[in-house]
Amino acid sequence: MAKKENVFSKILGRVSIRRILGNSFARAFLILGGITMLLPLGWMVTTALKDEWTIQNYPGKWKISIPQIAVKDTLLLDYILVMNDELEEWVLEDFEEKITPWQGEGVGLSSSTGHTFLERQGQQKEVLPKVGKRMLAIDYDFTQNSQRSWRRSFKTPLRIENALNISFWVYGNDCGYELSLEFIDGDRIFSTEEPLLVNFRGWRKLYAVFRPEDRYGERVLFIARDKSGPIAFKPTDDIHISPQEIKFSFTRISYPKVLWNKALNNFRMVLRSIPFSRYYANTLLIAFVVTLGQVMTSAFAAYAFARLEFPGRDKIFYGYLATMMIPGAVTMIPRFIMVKWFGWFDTLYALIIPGLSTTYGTFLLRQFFKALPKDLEDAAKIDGCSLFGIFWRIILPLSKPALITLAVISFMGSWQMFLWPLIVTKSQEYWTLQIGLAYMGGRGGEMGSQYNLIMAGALLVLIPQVIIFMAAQKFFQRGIVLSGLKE
Amino acid sequence: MAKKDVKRKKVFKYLGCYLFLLPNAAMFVTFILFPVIFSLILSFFRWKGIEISLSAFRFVGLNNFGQLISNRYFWQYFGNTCFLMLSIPVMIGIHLVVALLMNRALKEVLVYRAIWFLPSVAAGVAMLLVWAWIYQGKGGLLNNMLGLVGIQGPDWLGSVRWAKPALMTMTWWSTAGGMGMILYLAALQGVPQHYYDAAAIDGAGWWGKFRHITWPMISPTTFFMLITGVIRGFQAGFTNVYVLTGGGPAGATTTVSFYIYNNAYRDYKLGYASAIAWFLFIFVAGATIINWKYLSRKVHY
Repeated sequence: MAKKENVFSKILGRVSIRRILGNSFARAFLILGGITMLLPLGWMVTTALKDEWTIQNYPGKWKISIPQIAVKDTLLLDYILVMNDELEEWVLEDFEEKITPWQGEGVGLSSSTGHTFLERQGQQKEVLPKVGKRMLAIDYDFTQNSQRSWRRSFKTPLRIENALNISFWVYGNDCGYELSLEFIDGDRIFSTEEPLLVNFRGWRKLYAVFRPEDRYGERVLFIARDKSGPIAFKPTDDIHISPQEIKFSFTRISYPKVLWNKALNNFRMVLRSIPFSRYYANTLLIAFVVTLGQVMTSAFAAYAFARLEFPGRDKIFYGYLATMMIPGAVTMIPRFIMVKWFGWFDTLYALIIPGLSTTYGTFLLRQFFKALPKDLEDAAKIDGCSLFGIFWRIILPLSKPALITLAVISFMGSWQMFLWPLIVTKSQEYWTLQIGLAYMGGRGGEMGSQYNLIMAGALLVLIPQVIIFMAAQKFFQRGIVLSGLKE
Repeated sequence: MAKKDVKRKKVFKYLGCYLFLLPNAAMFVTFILFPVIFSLILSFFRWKGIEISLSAFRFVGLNNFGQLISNRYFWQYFGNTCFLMLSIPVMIGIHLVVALLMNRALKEVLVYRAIWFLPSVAAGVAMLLVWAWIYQGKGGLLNNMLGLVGIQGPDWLGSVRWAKPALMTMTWWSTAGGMGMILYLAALQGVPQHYYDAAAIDGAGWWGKFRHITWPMISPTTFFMLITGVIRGFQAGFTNVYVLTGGGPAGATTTVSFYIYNNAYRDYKLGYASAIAWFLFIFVAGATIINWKYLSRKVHY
């Protein structure tokens, strides 16, 4: 065997063929495995950039659809409703009886048969109205001017103070124009705060909401604001006679903006309906306080266990060790009851205080402290340094790596904690990221199977997490090795 | 006078020691020791009720345990947990293979390590949601890929047959290059090179070296991973089950942890749930002792 290798070495210089083979195999395996590791993450990122249409059409595709600008196309609108805060609805326009009387310049017609053919890139596609037999079709040509509007006046018994929202159906063609809306009531004009990018495909019901507190989950698309100031109440017996008017404006936007908006669209939708900033704040607060608490209490106790001598020390320590094997489920039930007794249920206290100490961390630091040289400590003792002084000035600075390791482990632990926050919190105000995410995208979650939105939410949570944890990876890995080998 | 001073000093010294211990010990007693005892007591009581008050407390002796043992569903859930634990040996095998390959002196090994470690840092509910989307019957990544070769895949998490393997595969993915692999890598790097050199002189091949040097030398790590794996395995299966399957379909993925959760925090059967938790502990302890007894002899320290 050895001889054979010698022959090969002679032929190939100093490189052994077996080694080359072995290394190639290792490379192939690690690269293929690495691709497998990256595949789900890639699927996540691309999904977060896709639109609903792509998600709901099977089989799923990797490709993200890139919007094209169609400068000449037809906009379709159907069934405009206004709703007041008693949830009464008025149909402003259903396009059923009227065919011609559109105001405004050059408005197209809905076809009398109720069928409209859209032509894009040489392909014709028939579009059926969303409600009833007819709809409004507006031909536009953005080469002429970059805005197209359609207005319609009407009268309703509705008082604008009581309006909740205006809803309507729009047929999106993924061409990236912006839609804004004005609601004119006498001398008062409500207009949408930010225009909505029509970058979806197919019919979708859009809402213009008058009061932000009445948001409709992810369906909230834009918020109407009174241009003339805050809504003032008029006397209730005042009969409303001022002419009301609604105006839709479609504006062409630049292609980079279309792309940018398209990429951010899912994230915006998620951020609008899920209070991620709240979850982030909670999670960060809990993680920081718990980490600090665990490192402090563990360091103090570990110092006592490792370096001090006092009656009962070892017995107490074995008591600590003995509980480490007991499943968390055992202690969690009484802890849950205690939290209720203390009145901490559904508060941040329940999430922070029980987590402030750790037997595992105490054990980890004790092992480390035990291995530190005793000379410095003795020298300090001779110089008359107090116990606390020795701990603070000598032990702690010497054990920075172990302390950082424990801090990283604690931080990750409390960041990923799931069961405990799930059982001790009820209101969204105190949720952590994990709970919020599960509520949004988990089984029976708020977003159902709109995986483009769910992936966007998951990505918003995952990106900072990966950055933090990757940065701390070195310490984390060292901690695993430290604690693993000494046990 | 002097003696008294020394004595006082001694008292102060001990006092100082205990003060160091105090914050941690107070927390330990309140949130670990007391709950352990409380939970043990609780497992002999029936305590049902939404409001948590002492009046609803009824002593039932070993009834909770009896009810548990005669509960067919519990054994199904216990079986599920054990089935999911079959992934542990495979996982240890993956860790070892990956660590062995990473241990070869490749120039770009740090890149591989970072990529393989990525799933571990991406852990959490976010990643579970990604898997929910991958396993989705319609439009999920897995079925898309199977569709390319003409296979119509099921709704993986919704199928009695496939839900458990799906959960196991997910676990393998998320831990393959993670902590266990790092542990093995550290162990492999701790094997002295001269052992291999000596074996090479004796004409040992790759397998011989592995069989007679590497495997015995890293056996403490294997042993450690097996023990912690089993301890963790019995308690595992909550977050992923909660987020992905809700214990279904037909209880096919309900683990003991999930069953405890349902009893304790959904149905408020706190006594019964405590009994399950202690039952679980008996298994954890038993498995650990058996492992220790039979395997520690084969471990070379």
